[in-house]
Amino acid sequence: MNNFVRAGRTAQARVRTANVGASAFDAANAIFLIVLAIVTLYPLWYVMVGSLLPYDEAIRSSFNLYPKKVTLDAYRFVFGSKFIMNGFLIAIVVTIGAVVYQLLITSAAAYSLTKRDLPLRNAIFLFFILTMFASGGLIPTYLLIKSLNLMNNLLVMIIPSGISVFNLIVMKTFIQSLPKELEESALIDGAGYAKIWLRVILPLSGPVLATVGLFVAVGQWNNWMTPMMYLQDKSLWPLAMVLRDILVEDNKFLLNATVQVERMTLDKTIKNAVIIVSIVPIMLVYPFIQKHFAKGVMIGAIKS
Amino acid sequence: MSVAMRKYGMLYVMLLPAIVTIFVFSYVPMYGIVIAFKEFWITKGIMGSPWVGLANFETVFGLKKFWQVMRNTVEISMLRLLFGFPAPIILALLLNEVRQALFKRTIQTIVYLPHFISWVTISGILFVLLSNDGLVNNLLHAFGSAKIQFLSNNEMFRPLLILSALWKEVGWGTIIFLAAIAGVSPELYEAARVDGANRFKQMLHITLPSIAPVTTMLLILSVGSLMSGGGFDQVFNLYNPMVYESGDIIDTYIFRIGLTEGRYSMATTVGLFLNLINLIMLVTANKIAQKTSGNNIY
Repeated sequence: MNNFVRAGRTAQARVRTANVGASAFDAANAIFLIVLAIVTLYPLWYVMVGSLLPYDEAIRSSFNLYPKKVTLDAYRFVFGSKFIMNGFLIAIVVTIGAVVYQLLITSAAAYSLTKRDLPLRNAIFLFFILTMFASGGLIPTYLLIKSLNLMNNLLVMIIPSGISVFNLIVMKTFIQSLPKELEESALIDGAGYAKIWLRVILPLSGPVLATVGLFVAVGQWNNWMTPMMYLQDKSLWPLAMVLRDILVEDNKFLLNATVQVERMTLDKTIKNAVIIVSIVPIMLVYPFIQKHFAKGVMIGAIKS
Repeated sequence: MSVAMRKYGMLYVMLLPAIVTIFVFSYVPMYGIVIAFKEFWITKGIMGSPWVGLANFETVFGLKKFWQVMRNTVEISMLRLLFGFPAPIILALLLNEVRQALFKRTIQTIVYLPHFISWVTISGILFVLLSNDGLVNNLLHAFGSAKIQFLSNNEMFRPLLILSALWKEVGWGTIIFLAAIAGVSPELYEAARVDGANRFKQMLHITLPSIAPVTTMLLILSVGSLMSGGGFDQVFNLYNPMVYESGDIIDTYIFRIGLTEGRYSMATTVGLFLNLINLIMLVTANKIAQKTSGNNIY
């Protein structure tokens, strides 16, 4: 009896220490995650504060938890710059162009590849898949683009990357999972494959079109490599390349003789503003992106 | 055949744009690889340039710079794998232990965000933070230590690459592991609790083994793409001649000798060599992954 009680007590004590241990772990875990969130966000906050400070405040101290004085001078300069605004416009055009073009040809090809009885289907699929393992590389691609007269042509942003095999697989997987009945009844009604694709498959593909469309859109919005290689004409540069020129190449377009000295001194705060301007569009679509991208990652992962 | 064409013709038409795009922009450049075996003259074109056999390879393999860049690539990729692979798993395990759904979702939303910021912008942020009068150096100064030129310091450059890549991708990397964890049967945890396992033991003996197949698979695939693991965007936007010694990788080297210096044949030779290594590693990894998944997942 005595032993039994004692055993009961130690068990209770053990549960109690376990609880204390568990809540200590919970607290430590929560603190760690909060610190991680701060480490993630603070650099962005720091840059934003820097973009809002008047120049004399900005040089006085580089450690400001919040802007003690606020001015929009830097943003006025950014939005007043033809170079940057032109980049915005071009980025919007090529992003929309690339999304529409890629979704159409990817979806059409993906739908065709779901037809198991299509002659040569496996060979065609292999033809696509092989390019995931081998490529011509940088220079041969560069020489090809040059010989196709795509240099200094905005189509170079859209046509060569017109299809990604990864996205093709994601879409094919999705279309395969659609119920067959709708398609079959359309076939019986005498509709051809093109009509079925347009009238039945595309309207049902909303989720996958959103996922892949967002993949393409973010990739294109951030694409500086293609313009750097193929667009020498600065008036064709999309925003990402303009940003690279300002942030990485440290282009002293601010230091042009024609620009007043006052703007030179804005250099530091302007860079901060440019960073914020490049992030804001992504922040705006972020809620949608997060949902759809996560889904895309999963489809891709399951497939591979 | 004509019946088949009537039935399937449209499907081929719908495949055509994709096939043409892939043929022109993926397969035709593969033909361009022949310039690795030629002395390429831009005026003579790919066809007209004279064959030189393996002379380009001899030149490349004789370059000290080439071997330095190879070593950098291998070492940096290894470091990336060493830190970048386990970090998201640990973070996913920690996130999984959070009981309050709202707190968990908030943290997830925040840590996923940097994935969508391009390396151009992140480089801009790093230049602002790490410059001589930037935040980090002012803090160092305030604590009485000497300022550090982070971006031109060969000892700092690799830690900078690894840390900034972690900052950008660790959150996003958790998605796949969190999904795997969500798929673990709750009955397993219940059984463990009945047996008196605390949460740490549950994590160790149930969660980790349950996500082991996914982890193994991803590890094999990351090892397979070790040499092609990207990094170009990051390195190209962050580096400068002062840190070539520690940070120049094959992809940036090819870009420079090819497009900046115009040595097309040599750049293609290096690219071909890299592609061969990649191909062998990828195919091997895929084979192993297929075998493992055959045994473990299904």
